[in-house]
Amino acid sequence: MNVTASNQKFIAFAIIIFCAIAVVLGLFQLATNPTVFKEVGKKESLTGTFLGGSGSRLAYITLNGVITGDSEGSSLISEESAAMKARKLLYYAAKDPNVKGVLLRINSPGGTVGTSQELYEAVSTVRKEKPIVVSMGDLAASGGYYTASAADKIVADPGTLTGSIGVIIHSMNVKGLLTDKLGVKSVTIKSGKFKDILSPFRPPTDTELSMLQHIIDTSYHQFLHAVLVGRTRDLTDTKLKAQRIKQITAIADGRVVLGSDALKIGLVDQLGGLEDAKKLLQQMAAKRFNIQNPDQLTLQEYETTFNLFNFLGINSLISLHPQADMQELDPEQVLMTSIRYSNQPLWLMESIH
Amino acid sequence: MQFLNILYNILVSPSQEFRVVSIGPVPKNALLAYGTAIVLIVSGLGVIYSPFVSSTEGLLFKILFAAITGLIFWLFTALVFSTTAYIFGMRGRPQTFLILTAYAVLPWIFLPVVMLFKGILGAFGNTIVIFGSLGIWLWSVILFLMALKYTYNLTLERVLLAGTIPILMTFIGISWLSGFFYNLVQFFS
Repeated sequence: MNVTASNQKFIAFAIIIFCAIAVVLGLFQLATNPTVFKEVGKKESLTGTFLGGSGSRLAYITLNGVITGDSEGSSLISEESAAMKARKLLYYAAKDPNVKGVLLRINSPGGTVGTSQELYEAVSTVRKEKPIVVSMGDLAASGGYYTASAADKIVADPGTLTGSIGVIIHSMNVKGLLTDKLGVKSVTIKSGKFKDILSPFRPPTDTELSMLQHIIDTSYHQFLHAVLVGRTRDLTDTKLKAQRIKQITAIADGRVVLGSDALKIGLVDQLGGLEDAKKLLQQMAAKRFNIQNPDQLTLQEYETTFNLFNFLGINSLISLHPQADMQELDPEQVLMTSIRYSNQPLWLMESIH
Repeated sequence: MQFLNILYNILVSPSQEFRVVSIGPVPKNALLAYGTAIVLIVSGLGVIYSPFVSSTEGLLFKILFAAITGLIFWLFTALVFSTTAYIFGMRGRPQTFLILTAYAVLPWIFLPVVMLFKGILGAFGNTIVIFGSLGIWLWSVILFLMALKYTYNLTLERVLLAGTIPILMTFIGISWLSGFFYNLVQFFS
């Protein structure tokens, strides 16, 4: 087929126009694309800020899994634990002038005492500077609840498992198996009579049990005291304050409660999901920093490490599906933590395994 | 030759157009400018349909970034093939190869048209999108191989062989890197 030069031009021009219309339609589709959690998951990059976005934002930080200070991964490529990462991010967010509020998403059965206390301190530090709201996932128990109690507000799903205010020491006695049945004898040389306390080769003495109970009780009182301080800090009504202290103390026996019951007791402030927590935080931050339109405060996944894609705004959405949280929570991880930290007080909800 | 005629020829009769560029007395700088424009436009277009982009936020910047990245990748690809050709003593001008490889990406301008079917005709629409995209990719690959053929005056067998070189080199590269990391792990463990 012989096409003249002018016809060639016309056909090429028609192709260009056709493709251009398709591009315009594609842009329209992109602009009106309804995305689940689009509002919540909107991530604002540095470049997004340069190109018309606002500098003020809300930081989204997650605390998933067992709370420990251990590094994760192999010795060659190790990563700090989720708890230590969250702690670091909380301190950064507290100082960051662009962050007007923090949304901390917790899905944790608790963990070690010291790290939980450090997280509590980190949340308290943020609270002094800007509003912080905790959104509970499937589980925020023991050390997970302890951390949450330092926040301004706690939002939980009706089915969230929370509470478990209590301390546990896990120990194994293998004397019956190893010594009595297999004849394995343990030789212990110690500097003091309590140096081998909770040794697996002998049962604890009454004095030792008494000492351990003292540790448990002291740790428990630290836990309960911190929770009561956190949950009554903003209550000005003395009667209401006394009532809440009474309610929380009454259930502070290690029991786990549902989110709906936790609301009645005063362990949480509101029932709802991530979206509700975000709206609450927007309102609190807008009020605190005199921002006219709370909606302009976008939620951003908070990171400290430089990421080229984030910098360039290529990863424009973050995944905030609450269902995905549970994947982070491995019952085996809880069991292993319990074994790994045996003989040491834990703020851990062990019953999930 | 004007841009619209070139455009038509690339899409309808690429052999003729590629032959003209490789041996004909044409203003190479003007064609190179056209080629650059094609690469920039096509690279930028890809952003709108990227799975990583779900909103119009910062879109202008993303398009600009993609265009620049595409430009760099185009130059890098030409450099790799021209170097390989030079090593094996093949004659062919890098400028010609640059122009022809730019022409090779032109079929991607139909991607926006194909993507219009996404989600509007159910499974049928998605099938159109999948096969349409694959068709564009295949069209573009064929044009790239033609660029090799006309730049270096290769036979079909040699073109196919040249097309497999990057894949084979990737395997060798992975093998070298594996050896490097293996020794690194040995060092740290």
